[in-house]
Amino acid sequence: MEIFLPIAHMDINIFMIVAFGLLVGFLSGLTGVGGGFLITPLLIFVGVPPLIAVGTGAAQIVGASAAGSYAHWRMGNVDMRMALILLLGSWTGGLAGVRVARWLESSGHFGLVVTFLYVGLLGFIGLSMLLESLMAMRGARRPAKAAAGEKKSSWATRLPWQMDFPVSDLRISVLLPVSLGLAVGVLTALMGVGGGFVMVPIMLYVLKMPTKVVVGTSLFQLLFTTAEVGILQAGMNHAVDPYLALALVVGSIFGTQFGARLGARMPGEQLRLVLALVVVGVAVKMGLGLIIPPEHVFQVTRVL
Amino acid sequence: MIRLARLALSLLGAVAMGTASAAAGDIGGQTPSLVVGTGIDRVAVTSRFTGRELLVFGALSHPGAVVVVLRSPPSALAITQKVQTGPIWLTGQKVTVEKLPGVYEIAASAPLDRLLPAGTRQQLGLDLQDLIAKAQFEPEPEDRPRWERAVLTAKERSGSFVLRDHAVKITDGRLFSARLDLPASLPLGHYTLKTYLIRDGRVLAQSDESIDVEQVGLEQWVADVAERKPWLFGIGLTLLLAILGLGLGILMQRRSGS
Repeated sequence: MEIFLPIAHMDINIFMIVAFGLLVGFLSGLTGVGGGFLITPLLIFVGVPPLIAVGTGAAQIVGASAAGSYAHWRMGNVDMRMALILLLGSWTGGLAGVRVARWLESSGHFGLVVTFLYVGLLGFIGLSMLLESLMAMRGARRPAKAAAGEKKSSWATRLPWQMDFPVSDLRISVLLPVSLGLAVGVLTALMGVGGGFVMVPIMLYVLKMPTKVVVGTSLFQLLFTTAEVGILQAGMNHAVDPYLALALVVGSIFGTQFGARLGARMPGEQLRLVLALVVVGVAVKMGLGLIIPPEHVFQVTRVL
Repeated sequence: MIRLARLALSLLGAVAMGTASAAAGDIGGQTPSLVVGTGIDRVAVTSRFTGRELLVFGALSHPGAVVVVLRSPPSALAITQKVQTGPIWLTGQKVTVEKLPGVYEIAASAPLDRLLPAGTRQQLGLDLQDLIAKAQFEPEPEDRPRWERAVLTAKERSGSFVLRDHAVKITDGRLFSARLDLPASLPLGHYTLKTYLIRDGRVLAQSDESIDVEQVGLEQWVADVAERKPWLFGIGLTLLLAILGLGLGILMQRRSGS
């Protein structure tokens, strides 16, 4: 069913967008990795202007992560103090990122910057996932990174503003979660991703938070970060399309359920390999877009 | 209905008048005129709107060529140029174009350059290049003609600027009809539809109609709020997405749990 998108100013088949949500939700449910970093490229591939793809991508994560955050909060898996301090950083980063996005869009460079960011980030994530799952499938053990972690914590303990986090059983400097939040907020604003793939490893290996609270806390903070960025992208940049966002949320919630049910019965390593291949494929396709001569040298864009 | 009936009556009148003047043998004595109808005076845009056809028809008092011009309110656009740096295509200069109609469609019964001299064409706004030449470019690009050509190409590609010779059909020298295709992305507002009766390089008669393009229903409300109250829209949509996600998620968990 073709509908006209009021913000993106284009016709699109809304069932195709629901299918994107289903597909990405399915992969996300299957592997446990959030799919925000696949939604934005898919929207760009079908012709949604990059800034709207990014803004809508962030907004739809609010819907896709709400139920999960609520469930983790109910189970007591959220370190609330940590989450609030992360949010202090990520809301600042989100605000800064949305302003940078506006400035890039008005100078006409946003699309290019997003493409570079995605090629870099997806290439990195995809390749590391690929290596990891290949090594795991061969039965090789990853070398323990305990030594590197110890070194970090020695300078980390000397940072000012140390604070106790009883739920995580930690005493660390406030600067660490604030700067982590800041980076994730900028990523959310510029790329339309939740940033769980950055947040979770850093919480585990750098902050050394207990595994039990890592997923809940990161989900909880990304819910509120994407909510803030979604509101800012709509308010400042007119960059959130309501029909796209609703269709994506509906698709991804159903997709996640199917994926999670199927994922429970399938070997995890093969699943991660599939996701890694998808991610690398998207990065390659976006990278080719930079090299292949454009069909038209002049391109019409939005007036912000 | 009343509108159509009135139109039919005036069509009959016009044809009768035309017959009278044809009997007289020439234009002299009788003021040339034309009667134009579109069947609609309002286009309702919903989110399901993906373009539509606009039928323009009418009667002529004298034989001649007919040109129909549909003009939308101005709508700004931005255009960027891609430049190759090494192997990579980067975005170069960005230019904003203002004071240019969003949609501009010309349909004629014969090639325009054979109907009217260039001066008259520009005066009547029948020259697309000239229309773009009069638009405001910000910042003013160095190689302006190249950018003007790019704007014209882009506008033609999206179906927003259309020039079609032989798109007006004339029957018996008295009745004419033309089809215009309205694209999906229409600027809203008051459109003017001008119809010219042309003979021997001169405009004999002109008729002015108008069509209002407006959004209707829920779509109108959504687009309106998104445009005029973007913060309220952002907060409302974000809450809606959270509630939808929470509701659907809990529903699915209950179902799979039971």
